[in-house]
This record gives sequence, structure tokens and C-alpha cells, in this order.
Amino acid sequence: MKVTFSLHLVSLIVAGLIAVCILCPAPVTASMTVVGSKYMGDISPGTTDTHIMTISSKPGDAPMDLSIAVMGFGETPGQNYISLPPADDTSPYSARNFITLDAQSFHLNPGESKTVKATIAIPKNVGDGGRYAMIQLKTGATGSGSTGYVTAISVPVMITIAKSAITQKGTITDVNVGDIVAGQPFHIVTALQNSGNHDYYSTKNTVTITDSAGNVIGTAGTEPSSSTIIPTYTVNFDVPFDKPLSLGTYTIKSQVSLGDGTVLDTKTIPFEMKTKYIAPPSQENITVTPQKSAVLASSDGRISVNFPSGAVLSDVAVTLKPLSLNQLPALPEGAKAGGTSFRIEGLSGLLSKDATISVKYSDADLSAAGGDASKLVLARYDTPDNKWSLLPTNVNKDTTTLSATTNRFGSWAVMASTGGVPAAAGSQKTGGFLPLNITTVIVSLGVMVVIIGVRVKKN
Amino acid sequence: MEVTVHMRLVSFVAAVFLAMLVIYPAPASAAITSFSVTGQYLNMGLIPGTTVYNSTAANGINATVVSSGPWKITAYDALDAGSGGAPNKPAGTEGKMSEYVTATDVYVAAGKHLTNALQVSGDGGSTYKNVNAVGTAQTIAMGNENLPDGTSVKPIFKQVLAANEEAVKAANQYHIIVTFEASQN
Repeated sequence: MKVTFSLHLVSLIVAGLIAVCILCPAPVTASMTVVGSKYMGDISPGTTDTHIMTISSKPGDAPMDLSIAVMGFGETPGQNYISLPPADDTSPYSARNFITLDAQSFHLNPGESKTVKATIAIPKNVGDGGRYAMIQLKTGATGSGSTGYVTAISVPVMITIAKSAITQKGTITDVNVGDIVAGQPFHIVTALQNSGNHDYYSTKNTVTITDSAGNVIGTAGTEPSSSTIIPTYTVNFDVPFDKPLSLGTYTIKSQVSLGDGTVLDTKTIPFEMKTKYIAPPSQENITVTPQKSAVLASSDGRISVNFPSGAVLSDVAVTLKPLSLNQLPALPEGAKAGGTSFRIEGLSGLLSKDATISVKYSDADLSAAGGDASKLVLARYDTPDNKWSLLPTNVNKDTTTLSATTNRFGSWAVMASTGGVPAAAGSQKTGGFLPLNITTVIVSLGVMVVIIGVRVKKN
Repeated sequence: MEVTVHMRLVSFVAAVFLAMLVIYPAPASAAITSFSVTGQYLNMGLIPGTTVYNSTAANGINATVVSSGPWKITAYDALDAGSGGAPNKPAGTEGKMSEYVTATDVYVAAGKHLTNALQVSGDGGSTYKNVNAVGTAQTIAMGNENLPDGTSVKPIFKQVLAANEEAVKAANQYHIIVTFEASQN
């Protein structure tokens, strides 16, 4: 087969390509790779060590100017490392003044590598424990619009003074219970200060709640922390608790320990549950089959989904999971989330027949609607479209139940809507069309150009 | 005692040794972090009393982290000026878009600033966090060792405008530079 193109066609394709190039400008890339992006080592007093960092860019990247500086090593309550300017670096465990660099700035061309040497000189009378600093590499600002950005990599420097007395101690300075919202876990936040002279990784927090009779209601905790906690800094551990609690007085015991089980500190506080608390739904699983109807329901009966027979074409495992309010995608304008939110997973496409979903609304849901239950709707987040659908919802005030029909699942929430429910929303089948966006338009135009313009002459 | 060494055995041991070199990761001293950011944000059209979604996952920057250990990306306002200029954003405006002279790449001293801090999401818009000063930098994404392909993060900005926001001079604009910083834990 021989394929030939007319001059008109070539012109058309070139014009199309130029148009696409204008619509999709070449990306601006700020890219750097640092080998040697962390230093951990033992250094004896009065001696010196070096740390080599090799900074490189890829061949296709834009050229860039980099600045490099030794900063203080700070830590936020959220266990984030931060690069502190000298004026803010007041820690007695700072290593900032021990470190010198052989370059403060340089230009990096595409595909080029530069090496920067950090010399770490430990004074003879440095004392015991650990010493900390950050080496920060950053680009200039990118972007000419109202928002620009700077790209940075920080290299943690964590020095242990060799043969010195290491103390790993921690002090719990505060234990706080967050807001109680029906249908949501409540959060117990423990603040721990590193009161020793050396950092520690893999700390974990365990929280136990007991009732007034001394019965353990439940225990929850964090995973071992992947960040280290450096001396003098205070960090928070956030433990969500989701066991049902009736009105009454309780005791909360919070304990922070190291990865090897060594307890750093324990603190106990009294706690009074003053309002009715409904725990988030428990995780439930069922298999929906084509032949039979099926019901997926939470153990407390507050959430149920009725699948009619023929809703699916083959066996599907469906799961109901709790979902925190802070995990919900941004809410639509004019809508306010109550306290009920959850996920239903396992169905990636559309049901053949609509299912009916029923949810008992809580006091928190009603409160979001200003006490007017008629403003409550069931809202479903449609991931393929990246938007919420406020479904036409039946409100039964006698049974405090909201119900709606749906042909798809995902994230759900009870919302108070001030703008009403769009008539086009709901469980209408939308088929498999792609959302209309610029990419779709460009691709479609390109396909049209090829279909209309190509003249293939078969020999 | 006589020891016989077979060439096939030597070859086998050498092959195993080489395979172990390939399989075992680089030592901690060769920690690797790669941080590449592609794209740029569009200008915001600011209308008082509205919520502005400046970007989406498909219309903004794309950050990729490749790391040989657990990592985080934090976002903060270091009070930087544009085009690599010296930091001169007025203290007290951390996280807030502030009046800026585009022609000279400097902020207006004691100029106007928006009421609310810019917000950033690192999880596709599920949760937003205020852009703060460096001392309270927020984590927008985190992960574990992810060699060789890395993890893609698409930070999305959101700006909520109060009803009483003031317009700036025609030659000026509201502006902010956000620092995205990657580090190993």
C-alpha cells in the first residue's frame, strides 16, 4: 500500500499542530535531583566530616539558578521539618554554625550536574546528644501570573556527638479532645515535647478510654511515625476514636512510646460526654448477584442500600466504609455538610437497575440545615466528573430518614442545600460520554482533521 | 587437604554476588531525592464574594517526587518576590495574596492584601490547607520510598474572597509565591 498526501492536507496538519502548540504551551519545568539528600552520622568532638551532595537536572529541563544555604532545623506540630532562617534558629541543639558549604549559588544547565561539599566541623566542647541543621536548595520563582512557586529540596543533617551521653526523653504537655460530631470520629490530640538531647524516630501514641467503672471502652493509636522528633520541639499525635459512647464520665489515658516499646510519657485526663454521640458506620461487605435482591446495611441500621435483582450483570463485592468529613472533596457552592458521610465501594460502573439508598439523619445533619429537615439531601460525589450530585431526596421526618435512588456509588454525604436540588441531577443515566474539556476538544478536532483531510490512494 | 575450585562454581558465585549488588538498595548515605515540577498556574480572575478555584489537577503544576526513603512535600509562603527577587513581601501577609507591582517584581510596602489565606490541596481537592508562614508549613503530600518511578502530586490552589476586598491599581495585582519543599524524613 502506498500512502500519499496532498499539499492542502500537509498545510492543514501543520496549521493544526501550530494551533495545538499555541493552546498547549511547552511546560515550564523546575527539576532537580539531589543525591545525598540526607545526612545522618556520628562525629567526635573536635573532628570534621564532609557530606557530598550531587545536584543534577534532566536533559529536557529548563536551565535554572539555584541557591543553597545552611538553615536551622525546625519542626512543626504536624511533624513537618522546616528550614529556619538564622534569626529563628535558637535551639541549643543547632548544628547550623558547624556547617560550611563550598558554594552558595550556581547555575544548572539541562542535563548538568554540580557537586556541593558540606564540611561539618564539631567543636571540642560541643556537649552531649544530637545536633541538627537543614541544607536548603531552592530555585528562583517560576510563573508570571498571580501565583508563582519556588521549588526546594531540604537536606536534613542529623549529627550524633560520638561517645556522648544520649538521653531520649519526652514529655506530654497536653491532651485535648476535639469537637464531638455525630457520625464522625472524634479526635484526641496529644502534644509531646522532646525533652531529651537526641531525636527519635518511630514514636507512636496509644489512647485508651475507660468508663467510670474502670471498663475499657476502646483503644486506638497511631502508626509509628516516619518522621523524627528533634530536641526541644513539640509535635502532635492525632488519634481518631470511633467507638460508641453514651453520656457519662470517662478517663482518657494517652501514652507515647518509642518503636522498641520504651514509654516516653503517659498522661491521663478526665472526659465527659455531654452530648449523644453516634459512632461512624462500621465497615460492611456483601456480594451482590444478578439473580437476587440484596441489602447492604450498617450494623446500627442508619445506612442501607437496597439492590433489586438484576442490578448487576455479574457477582460484585460491595463494601460500606466510614468516611471522615475532612476526607470529603470540596463541597458544592451553597451546600453544607452535616455529620453523616461514608463510602460505598466495589461498583466501578453504572447499575443496570437503580438501587435505593436510605440514611437516617442525625442531629448534626439537622443542625446543618438550621433544623429544617426538608433542606437535607443525599449527595453523591461522582469521581469521573469530579463533582457532587445533589440527588432528589425523599425526606421522612417521622422516621428521620432520607432516601434516594442511584445507579452509581462512591463517596456520600448528607448535606443541607440552600440552592435546591438541580432537576438534571440525580440518578439519571448519563451513559459513558467523556466530560467536555479542552483536551477532549483538541483530540476531537485532531481526529476530524485526520478523517477529513487524509486522502489515501491505494495502489 | 586438597581444595578444588570449579570454574562453573566461581561463575555461579560471581553471578549471585552481582545479582545481590543490583537487588540491594543504595546505602543511606546515598539518599536520593528528585523533585521536578512542571507547568505553571494561570492568572486568577478575582471577584469579591466568590470562591476562586485557580487550578484543577489538569490545569496547574505537576510535581513528581522520587525518593529512596520516606518523604514529604510542604507548602509555605517565604515572603518571596517573583523572578528570584529578594524576599520583600510584607510581614504579616504570610499566606495571603498581596499587592504587587508586576513591572518591577516587588510588593507594595504596606499595600493591600486579601482577607483570606490562599489554600492548597495536594490530594486532588479532597482537603485544603491554608498556605502559612514557614514556621507552620503544611504537609500537602507524603509517601515512602518510591524508586524508580516516583509519585506524582498535583497541588491545587483555592482562594476564597470576602465581599469587601479592594481592587488594586491597574498596574498592580494581587500576588503570592508559594514554596513547595520536598525532603526525606
